[in-house]
Amino acid sequence: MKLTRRDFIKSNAIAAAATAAGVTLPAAKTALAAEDPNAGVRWDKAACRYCGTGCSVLMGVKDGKVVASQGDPDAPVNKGLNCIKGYFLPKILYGEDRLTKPLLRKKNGQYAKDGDFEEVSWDEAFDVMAEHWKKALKEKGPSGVGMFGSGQWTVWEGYAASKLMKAGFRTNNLDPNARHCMASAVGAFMRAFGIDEPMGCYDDLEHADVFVLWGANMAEMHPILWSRLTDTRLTKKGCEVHVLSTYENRCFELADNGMVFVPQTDLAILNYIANYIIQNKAYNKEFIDKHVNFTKTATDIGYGLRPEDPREKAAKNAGKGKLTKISFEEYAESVSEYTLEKASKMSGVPKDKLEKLAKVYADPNKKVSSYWTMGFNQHTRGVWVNGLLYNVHLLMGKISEPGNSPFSLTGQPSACGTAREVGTFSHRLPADLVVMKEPHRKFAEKIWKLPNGTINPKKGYHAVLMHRMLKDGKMNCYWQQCNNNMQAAANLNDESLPGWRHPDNFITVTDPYPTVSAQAADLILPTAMWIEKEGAYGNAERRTQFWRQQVKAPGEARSDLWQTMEFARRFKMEEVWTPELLDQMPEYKGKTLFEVLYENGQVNQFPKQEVTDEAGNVYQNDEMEDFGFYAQKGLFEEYRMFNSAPDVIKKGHEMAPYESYHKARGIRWPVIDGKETLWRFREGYDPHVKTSDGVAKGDVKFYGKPDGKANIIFAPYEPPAEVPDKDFDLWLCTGRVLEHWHSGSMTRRVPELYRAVPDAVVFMHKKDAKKRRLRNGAMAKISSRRGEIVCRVETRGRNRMPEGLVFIPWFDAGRLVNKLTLDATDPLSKETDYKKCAVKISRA
Amino acid sequence: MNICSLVVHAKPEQHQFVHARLEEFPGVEIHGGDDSGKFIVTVEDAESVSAADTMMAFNSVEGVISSTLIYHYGGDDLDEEVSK
Repeated sequence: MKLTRRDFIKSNAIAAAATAAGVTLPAAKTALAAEDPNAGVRWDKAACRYCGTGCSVLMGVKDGKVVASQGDPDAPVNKGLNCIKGYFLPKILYGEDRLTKPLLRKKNGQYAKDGDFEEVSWDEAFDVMAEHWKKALKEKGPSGVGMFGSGQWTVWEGYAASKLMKAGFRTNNLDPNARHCMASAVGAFMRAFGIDEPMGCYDDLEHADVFVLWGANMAEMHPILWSRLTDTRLTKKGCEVHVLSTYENRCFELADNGMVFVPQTDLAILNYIANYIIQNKAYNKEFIDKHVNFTKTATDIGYGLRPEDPREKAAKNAGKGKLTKISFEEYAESVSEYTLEKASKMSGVPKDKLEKLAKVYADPNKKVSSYWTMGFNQHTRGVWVNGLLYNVHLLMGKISEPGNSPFSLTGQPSACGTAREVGTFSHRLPADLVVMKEPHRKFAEKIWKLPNGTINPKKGYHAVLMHRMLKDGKMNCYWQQCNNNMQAAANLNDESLPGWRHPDNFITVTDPYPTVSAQAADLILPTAMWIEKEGAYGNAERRTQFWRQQVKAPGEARSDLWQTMEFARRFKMEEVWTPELLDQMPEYKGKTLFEVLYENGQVNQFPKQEVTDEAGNVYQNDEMEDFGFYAQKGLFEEYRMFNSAPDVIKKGHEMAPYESYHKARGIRWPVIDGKETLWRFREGYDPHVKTSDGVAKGDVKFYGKPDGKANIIFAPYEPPAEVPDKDFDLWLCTGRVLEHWHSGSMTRRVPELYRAVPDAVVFMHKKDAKKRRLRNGAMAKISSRRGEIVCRVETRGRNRMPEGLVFIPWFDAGRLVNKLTLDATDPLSKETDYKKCAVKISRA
Repeated sequence: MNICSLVVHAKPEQHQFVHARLEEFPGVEIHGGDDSGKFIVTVEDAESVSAADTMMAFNSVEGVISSTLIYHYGGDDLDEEVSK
């Protein structure tokens, strides 16, 4: 019988789908798959490159090129499923304009800020870059340089960068783009529980009776989690889905209770639910007596704008996050003004819908899982609103057990694993330690073999502040890796672009593609992406996942890890540390930063070896080849001393040895005795909560806090920084669409995705369009106090807008919505509110 | 040349309608799953439309709750003979 590869591939494809769906098919359909399950392709697992879900995908490589992909049937996260973006994963590596050589702005053979990009060697690139960094360090000290990293960095890339900046250059001017997406979630975790990241896990998607979405469009942004949720909704008797958003998105199609609310009034709705629970005496008295402290937060805290902004000057407690202890009665009194009438009036949500929502939280027999993403986090009261939801779960004791789960979803593949866990924020060190605390610095200095006092105790510049400092000429060197901040950061015209193009500043961008950021830089460094290097990501449910290098990066592109470590070779210790510091460790004199940071007997402890899988396939590791040691493994094992050494300051982040992760489909921390943890803080699930410590069987201990209790934190409604008025009469909300991921630097290079959704459109209500003599498909000019863009009007698309609010996605480099957005942040988390500013629209 | 397989989840009351609509797309075959409402579907590039465009169109078919990609092959060696 003559058979083609097509026959085998197709049979494999059918078998894989049937297995994933749990559907039995006639044997003939899958016979060839049984015969040759690999279809002549080398398959190996990798964590998906896109969102924070953390799906595992099998990548098929043939002749050094990725030719196939499959949802990983052995992965607990996605169980063989894959989303539409997953289809295009192989293609993101092969965009036509992939960067393969360093590019430097030059004129007459010399670097020039106003020059044009020319190809240069890595040596020239690093020489020019190091020259500028040395100048800035000399003139401004450690605060003169900064690095902007990413929740898409692999774990060791973030760790190596953290070490370079905090230990090497002695500056805390390191922040990740996760500042724009997760910082509010982090702030709320630390305030309520004293330890970062969700207590629950994705298994809640099968255990819950009720799902509530708060500002998360899971149907488009987390399609795999959405399909698990959908499955539960359709198969579990009595299961309900409640959806809250400022406009109707695709999730509303499945909603039993869909609610469109006025922006910012989520604060009022959540306080109403707490009030409802108290008024009806539905709260879990035993739980709150034993496990909860009641507090209130400082109010009138401003909007994280520049200090001279009138809104900051008017704020009584700008930037303050102080908590004051209160009694349960005082808390009850504080929320009592948030009646059903008031919440309904403020939010515009009908009373019966709000009451229906409050009832499911208040019903002790219903397991509720709440999910949120940017609706909560990108919010000038983001930390507050995250906390208000914890209040509701804590009042009921609906937490830390299967199905009862307040769960902060993430938008990036390693916002948790890298940005948060290895300490890439401007105030953090690995494993939840912070630079402001002396014992934390000392612990880090011990692990890193640094002299006493190396780590700077002062918080560095956060993402938004970095752009302000660049504009003001106070920070002169900036290195961006693995993200596209020129397209992401709000207020491009007034802050970002003037900062980057300031004549005193030298901007380096590391990217695989010529993004908006790359084009605004002075030096572009081409990088290896995703499976062109050995990597690790940590997803939203604390799952750490590894992959091996599958293919080689094109041309001279080298990974972010290689670049960070290699750049350290350009600095002698005398150029970055004071003589007093060096006198403490004279053995470091005359050495390079590379030697002190990465050849310290720890990072370089694993010699070069062959990387193989269980089947004996051999994989490349370009960094190991170059450095002569297994850099990824050495970095990870050193990092593990922060979370798994016996004397760690904060327990609860333990991880497994390196090799375990290559074998497993991810492992959720804390990992104790080789076992992962699904639900934290509860005896029976979390090994840190033990009956031998006096905890009753199945009871809870919030061990992130010294007294083992979580904080319920009262916070009131406060208005947003900018609201529509007679000049700018519409709310603007920004966000994503299914087909494109973030700024579109990868997905817009996939022809099919580009064709499907080529340009950003402005979603608006038909009546709002008509009032402005616009119709579906017309071109409209959208302007704010900061800039203007032109988009096509969409009144019939996937998002159904209420009157008075428009939505524009931010993936489109040709229509930069961040010319419109305001750089107001949550004053506590410093995360930008991308969901609320005022615009006007007219015919273009 | 692209071959994909998907699981397409249809609303229970619209199974038959969805089945019929999916089969109208060029390059689409349904291999089973009618009982559970989860169709096992393969999509191949057709003359005028790529597999990707077809898959993305599934989302706008009435009655489709979700359409999930499982497997994709994009090599250009599909017509190569493979000896048994």
